Amino acid sequence: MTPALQVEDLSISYAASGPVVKGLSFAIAPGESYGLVGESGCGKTTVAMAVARYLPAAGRITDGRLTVAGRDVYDLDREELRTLRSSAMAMVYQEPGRALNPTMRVGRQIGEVFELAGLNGDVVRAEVERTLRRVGFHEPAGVAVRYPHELSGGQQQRVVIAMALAVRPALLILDEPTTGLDARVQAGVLALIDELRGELDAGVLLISHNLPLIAAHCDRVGILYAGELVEEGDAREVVAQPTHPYTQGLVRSLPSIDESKGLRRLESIPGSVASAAAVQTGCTFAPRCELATERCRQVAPELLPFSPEGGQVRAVSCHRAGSALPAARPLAPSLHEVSPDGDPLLRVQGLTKRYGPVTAASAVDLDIRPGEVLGLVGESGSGKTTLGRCIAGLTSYEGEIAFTGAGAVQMVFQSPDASLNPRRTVRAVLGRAIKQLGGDTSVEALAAQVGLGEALLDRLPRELSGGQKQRVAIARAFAGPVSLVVCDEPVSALDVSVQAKILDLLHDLQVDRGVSYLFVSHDLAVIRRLADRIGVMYRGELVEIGAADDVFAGPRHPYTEAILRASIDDPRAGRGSTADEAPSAAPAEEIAPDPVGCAFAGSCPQAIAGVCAVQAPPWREPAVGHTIRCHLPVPELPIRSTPSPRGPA
Amino acid sequence: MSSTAAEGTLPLPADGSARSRVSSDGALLDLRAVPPARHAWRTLLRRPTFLVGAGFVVFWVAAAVLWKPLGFDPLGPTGLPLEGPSGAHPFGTDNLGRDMFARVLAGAQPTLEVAPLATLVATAFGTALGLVAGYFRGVVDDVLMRSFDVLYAFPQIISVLLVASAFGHSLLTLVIAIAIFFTPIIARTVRSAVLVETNHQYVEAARLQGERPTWILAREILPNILPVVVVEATIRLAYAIFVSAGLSFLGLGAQPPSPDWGLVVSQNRIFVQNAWWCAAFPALGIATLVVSVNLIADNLRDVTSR
Amino acid sequence: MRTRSDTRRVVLRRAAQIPFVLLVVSVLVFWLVAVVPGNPGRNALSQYASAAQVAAWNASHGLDGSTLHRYFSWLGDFVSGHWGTSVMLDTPVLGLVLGRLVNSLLLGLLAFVLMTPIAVAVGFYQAHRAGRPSDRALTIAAVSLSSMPEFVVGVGLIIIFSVTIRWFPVHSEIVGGTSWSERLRVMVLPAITVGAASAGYVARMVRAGVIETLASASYRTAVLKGLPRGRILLRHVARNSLLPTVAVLGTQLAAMLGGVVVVETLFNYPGIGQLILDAVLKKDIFVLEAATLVIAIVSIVVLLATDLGYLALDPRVRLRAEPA
Repeated sequence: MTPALQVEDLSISYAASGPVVKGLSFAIAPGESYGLVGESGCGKTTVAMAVARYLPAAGRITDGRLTVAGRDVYDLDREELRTLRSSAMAMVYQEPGRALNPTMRVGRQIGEVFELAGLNGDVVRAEVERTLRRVGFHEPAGVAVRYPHELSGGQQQRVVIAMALAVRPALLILDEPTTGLDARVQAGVLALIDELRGELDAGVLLISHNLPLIAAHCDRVGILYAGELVEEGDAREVVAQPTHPYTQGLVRSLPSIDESKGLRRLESIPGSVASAAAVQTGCTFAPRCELATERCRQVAPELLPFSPEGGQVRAVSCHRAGSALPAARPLAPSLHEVSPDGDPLLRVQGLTKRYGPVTAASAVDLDIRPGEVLGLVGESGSGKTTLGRCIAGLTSYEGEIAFTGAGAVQMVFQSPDASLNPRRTVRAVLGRAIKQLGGDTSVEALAAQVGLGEALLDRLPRELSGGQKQRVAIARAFAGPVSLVVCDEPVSALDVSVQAKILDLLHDLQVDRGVSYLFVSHDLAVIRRLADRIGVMYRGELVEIGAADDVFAGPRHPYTEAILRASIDDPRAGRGSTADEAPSAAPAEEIAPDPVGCAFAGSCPQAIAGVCAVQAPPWREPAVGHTIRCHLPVPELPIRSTPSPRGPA
Repeated sequence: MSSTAAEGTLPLPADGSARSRVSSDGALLDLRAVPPARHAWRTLLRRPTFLVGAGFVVFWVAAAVLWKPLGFDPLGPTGLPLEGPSGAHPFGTDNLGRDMFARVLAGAQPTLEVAPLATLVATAFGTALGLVAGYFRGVVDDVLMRSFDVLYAFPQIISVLLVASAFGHSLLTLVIAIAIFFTPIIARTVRSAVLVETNHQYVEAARLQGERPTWILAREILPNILPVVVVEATIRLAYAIFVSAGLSFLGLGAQPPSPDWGLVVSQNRIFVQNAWWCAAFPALGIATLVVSVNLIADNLRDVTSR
Repeated sequence: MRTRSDTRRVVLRRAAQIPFVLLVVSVLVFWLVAVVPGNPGRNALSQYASAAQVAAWNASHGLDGSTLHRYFSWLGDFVSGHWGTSVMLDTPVLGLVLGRLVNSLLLGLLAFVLMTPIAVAVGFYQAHRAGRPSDRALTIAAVSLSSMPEFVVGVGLIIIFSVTIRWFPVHSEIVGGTSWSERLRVMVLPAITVGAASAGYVARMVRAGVIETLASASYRTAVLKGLPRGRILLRHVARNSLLPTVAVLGTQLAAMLGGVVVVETLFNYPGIGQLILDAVLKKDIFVLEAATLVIAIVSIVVLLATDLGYLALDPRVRLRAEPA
């Protein structure tokens, strides 16, 4: 059978930076889904663009062949290429809001594809509505006349998928299709893609930085490092039992929602991908490989078949394939005992924040104790960042915040690019912070504490990597006596391996200094790494708060349950989200909540008719210090057995 | 097979967009260790339009400063009336037999006195106002934006014309009139640049660190918006030349027998059918100066917006 | 540059502030004329008239009393449609100003019609050839056009087209019996002069807009859908890339209104710009008030109209009105 996509020995170069993809070969059979995984800078998006023959002007294919449904993409004239694009391939993009034309109704944008196939008039309209219904819209006629900005991110992505599927493509390319979407929306979009793939018999190329996602939704996976394929095989097996040291490192870097605080270090891959550019001979990964030998540095390994114990044959490009990385070092145990009864460091009472008519946070009560990490989780728009900013004193609010700490309140922000002044060197930033915050340390010592070498001190932010910038931002927060650090999604802009290092660093600093964190994140696994207690926010309200282990063990709020299920499970535990355990995804259209009733009533599978939507829910207390705001009595609250925390891997 | 890329994509400028796309995926840090200001200079000096523009500006500044020491006489008759260009009078003579070459050189002086001074005043006030309005918002901001609305609802040259006519036809009046009307424009540009910067968390980090507003404005924000200020000031300089020349042309700026370019073009345009040179050369003077300043502004904007 | 979310607010504010702006303009003009030294009666009657004659003349023209008193009596008359009599021309101001306004608007219209299509076409062509020598040359041309004072462009055009090849007249006087074809002929050079600056600016805006659109993800989607080129250009590129241009068109048209003062003076064309200059020089207060207010009204209406056009073109702005 003709493969949907065949890539043979593909090499791509950019004028400014040299080779980006080197000798890449893989094939995707019809009906098969193939995942291409790598961290930023590894060339995965370049591959997608090369398949579509849409490389930027500076990009050039230096070698190799690309065939889609048997046709050489680079051996077509303009008209043939257009036909191939309109009939054989379709693409779903990372930012659906940008991928759609902002000034055109979405129905017309989908309709164009049908018009291209020779249909017109009412037939097109009917087909558009049929397609929209198929991607989960219950009122397709109403959606078709909307403009993209009138739809949510998840809805926009459904529209793009509808457009892609209208042609019945032989090859469907998905370039980070759910990055930036909330977990529940993400789960819904991915379930839709899985379902449609079954119907269409299309080959799917799924490009992502997210290894568990690929394991859950792909048949096979290719791991890309610095433009080369280093490991390829059955997706679940590769993730469950990685053999290449890079893949092993990636898997180990993942935090898991099954591992409670402080069990093991995440940091598993030293150095950064930039070191690959300097490699002249031998394996490109050797400079970062803990298993590298002299041979690795001299002779470049080839992608060869390898059979791991008890698994199928896969391809690995490593001289030491199958050797395990040294065991992860344990994390430093917390020296400061958090006393549950002591006076809180910070007490928030009835905190409300309004932006004009929009209420971003509504009557929030919570405490943070000395030396404690409070994790705050929620989707975008839940008010978790607003709450953090109120506590840091960056914005006005109604209600009370009482802070009893001796040290300062500092903050670490999400975007490492925006949180450093582009015109100030690391030394200037840290020096000023030490002076302002009354620190008694030197710039060099402070930088060393966060793992920044002296060579970096005189650099400007643009000369640093994302992880280095975030280290500077963290150092700035710790420049003087500090009692509370508000961490607002501090790792969400970073690659997995960098994220692991920053999480370890934040843990070490917290233990070392005995400070408290308010740790805000949308990612439950990240929260679980660090948090002693967890608060869950939904649409400006705190719906649940309690000890991390209690929240994860349940009973829990139905909303907490929803985001927990939507988070993709740890692939190492061997139970990804499967068809029989469908994630409770957010529907394509959500109902606006009643201002008095429970905010989640419209989306709650357990909502009590006539009660939840119209009455304010009461606080339930299933355990001491664990409270849930819900109409359901405690025994009816969702509970799911999570495996007991495991020891270091 | 080594085919070129991207059939169906229209060619993009090789410098900007393509590179940023590479760096988002290719983790390039090729600008490492070159300070931004020096880098900008190097790039500027490689741009032909910048060099041409800078060359003309230097020439006219030199003319404005040196015509007197070099002994040019723009006011007295040195030849016959309306003589065509020749070796003795490269730009010909006007109806009073004055040397047009001397008049064009000397004509740079009033223009280069009015426009830069007006721009400087407007930039200083406008930047201060924009910083305050953008950072503190509130009343200053409201007043600024309202006055901008009124200003922009009315053609500027007419506003300046009214003010200039009311307070007498002198270069100083022109400077003040132009400065008054340019200040809010610069302030608005600076204000929106400040708004962009205050959205960046480094400003909040400074606040959390206990920095005072003056420190944040002067040390954190100003250095980052300086390129915007420089570009805006250059654009305003060009407009100031434009407006002051226009008013001189209308008789509301420099007065006879000044060799001011706008005035000279206005006076000599009646001879244009017989003696094109006596209007064409001063017009060319304005054209080269104003276009050069605009080319410089354009290049500055290109280089600093990277 | 203005962002999209701002535009709706700007439109509403601009509509609401029309009376306010007009009031401010009228006060400022009155005040500025009051500051000017000189006596209109003395100017009109020459130095040989007696003081009593001058005073009587001033009184008969409504030019006596305190500035404040004169302002309010003028304002009352103006609002009720009595715009007074021109001191310099001794004709009713209403007819004079409106007649001149029509001439100027015709000139502006011709400038717009002549220059906009060319500018848009050049912008598209440049974007298509971005970075190549032809693009660079046209960019320099556009910068030059948009930055040169109108009288420089005008003098250049006169030297080339009137003096050298004699296609068009040097002066553009229009009298009662001038035929429409002759009118059009005399208007061509001034119209090009008025429109040149905007044309250069518009070409640059269009170029930037098209380049941005071609680099956008939504353009990529359209290409990778396999749409034919013509359809992509028409449906996906044209509107999106012209949006930023439409957003600034209003200020450009308003700037054109300013430009007519210089251009009409240069070509001796009987428009409102020339009238304003004459009124300023001769301190003809009623003409000046009426003409500046008319100009202010026209420029506000133009700004409002282009903002509304922008609203119509960009759905993202239109729908922001509904509560979220």
